[in-house]
Amino acid sequence: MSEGARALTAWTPDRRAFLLRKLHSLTGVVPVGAFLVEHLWTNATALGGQAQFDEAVLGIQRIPMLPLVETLFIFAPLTFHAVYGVWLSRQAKPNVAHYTYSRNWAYLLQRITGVLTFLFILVHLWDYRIQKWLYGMTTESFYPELARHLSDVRYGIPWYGILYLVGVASAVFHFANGLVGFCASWGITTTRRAQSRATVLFGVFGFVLFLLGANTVLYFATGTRLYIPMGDTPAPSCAPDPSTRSSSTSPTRSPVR
Amino acid sequence: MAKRVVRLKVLRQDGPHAPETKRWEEFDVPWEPQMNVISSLMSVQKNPVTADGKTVAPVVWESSCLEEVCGACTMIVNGKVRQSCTALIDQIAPNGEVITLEPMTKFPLVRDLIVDRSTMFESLKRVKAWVNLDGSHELGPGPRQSQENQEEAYPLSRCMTCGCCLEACPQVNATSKFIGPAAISQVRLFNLHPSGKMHAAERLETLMGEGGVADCGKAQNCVEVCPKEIPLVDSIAQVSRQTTKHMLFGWLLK
Ligand code: HEM
Ligand code: SF4
Ligand code: SF4
Ligand code: FES
Repeated sequence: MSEGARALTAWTPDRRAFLLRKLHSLTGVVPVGAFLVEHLWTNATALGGQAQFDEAVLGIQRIPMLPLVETLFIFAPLTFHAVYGVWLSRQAKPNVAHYTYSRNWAYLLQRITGVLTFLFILVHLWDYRIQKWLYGMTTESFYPELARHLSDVRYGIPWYGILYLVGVASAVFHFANGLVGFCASWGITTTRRAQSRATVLFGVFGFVLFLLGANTVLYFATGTRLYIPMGDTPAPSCAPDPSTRSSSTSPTRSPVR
Repeated sequence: MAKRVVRLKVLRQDGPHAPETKRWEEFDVPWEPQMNVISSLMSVQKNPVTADGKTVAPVVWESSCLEEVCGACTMIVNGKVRQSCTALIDQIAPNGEVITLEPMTKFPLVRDLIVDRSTMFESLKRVKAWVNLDGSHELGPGPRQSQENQEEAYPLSRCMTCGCCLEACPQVNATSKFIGPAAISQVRLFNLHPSGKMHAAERLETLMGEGGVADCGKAQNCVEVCPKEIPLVDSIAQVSRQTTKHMLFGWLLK
């Protein structure tokens, strides 16, 4: 019966767990959360056409010592947050079946979206980072590759577009709900009322961030700019157009797919 | 007209080290006005015969005050943790529904519906949930407590260590060392007290140890189930703020 019960002496004054927890919480917001916002923002420049998108990507490429900056400020903190997050998720004993309160659902979803986001990031890294290393995919080929990739339809289902929509949704939910948790665990919101106000605030923020990310995915998948009309640059075609074909065909046509 | 009966479905086990005896048993007891779960268990004790006619050892449980102030009778009634003495049969089973009774799952089982909640008492000792006295000699009157301070402290002082909040907390379980919301709230209480304050840093440092306040996952079940309506989420956030400050500036103040 008492699967949840434990021994009396299961405790030590060791400060390590506390500091790791705090570091986990902090890395979720800066730099990982901040990067998520920046990333979705940069990607949304694609709504203005390939020229604008390539410009934004080049802007990033021009950051001095980019590999070092990326490793220190994105890969390392993200890996730490993700690995420790999976470990923390395994400690949870969800009980939404009996205690159906909304915050309890949010608690469970925070863990599910964490794991989903983790898996999605792995797929996404394979698509646009690891292949860049392995096969010398160029940054100018990102745009046509994304268009080809996200509009891929199998058995009438735009499965890759859906995968990306789910990935964006789970990352954004995790970040927005994480901000509510962050405010509680650092003692910024010290009453339940303040925490529900934070939930509304970050809920709206998360929704807007999701619309931004979803619009980009939808644009690459279908060529529609749903809510952000930007000039009249041509929509990306599912097949790369001749001008970019030279740089984007053979080497980048992912040999695996 | 057939006599009205109350059907209880009880999760039983003969002892802490007898998981093989874990079983559900059902009992029909005669309905009485104003009946609650404890009085229906008393009926089972008088006539320990299951619904299918087998005579068994009577079901054991704990209770004391019978008015929701001691916490002894806490168990899982129809899937949710609560005090069984105030679980009125007419409210929880108005149309004669089966009532399920289970022991809490976050504490070591003693037998049937009885669990051992000493972990909670150990936690209170660990966080020094008291005001220290440094001798038996006359110390004169203590510092005055402001009205505001009293109003914040009183609700926290109502905790009866019943364990509902730990039972409902998804972060309290066999794989974690999380101390749980009740003791954290007591740290807030004693850190508010004008004399208790003198040991505030010590209490915070305990809660900055393994299984301390940072293990809360913000699920807020605790505050939903607390029968004393103690603002546990506020307490956890308050103590989080205190530990954050202590972590960032504690060394400066030493
Ligand atoms: C897009 C990437 C990610 C962002 C922006 C992000 C952001 C955050 C933020 C802001 C928090 C709140 C911290 C707090 O509660 O104090 C958080 C919590 C959490 N994250 Fe992430 N995270 C990301 C990826 C992941 C991944 C890949 C995992 C792996 C499973 C994960 C697991 C968790 C868990 C379990 C918590 C809850 C901690 C708790 O409340 O006890 N996160 N995250
Ligand atoms: S708010 Fe924290 S202590 Fe309360 S139930 Fe949730 S995880 Fe447990
Ligand atoms: S805080 Fe509430 S639920 Fe928790 S032990 Fe105290 S009285 Fe019970
Ligand atoms: S017997 Fe004391 S709370 Fe139920």
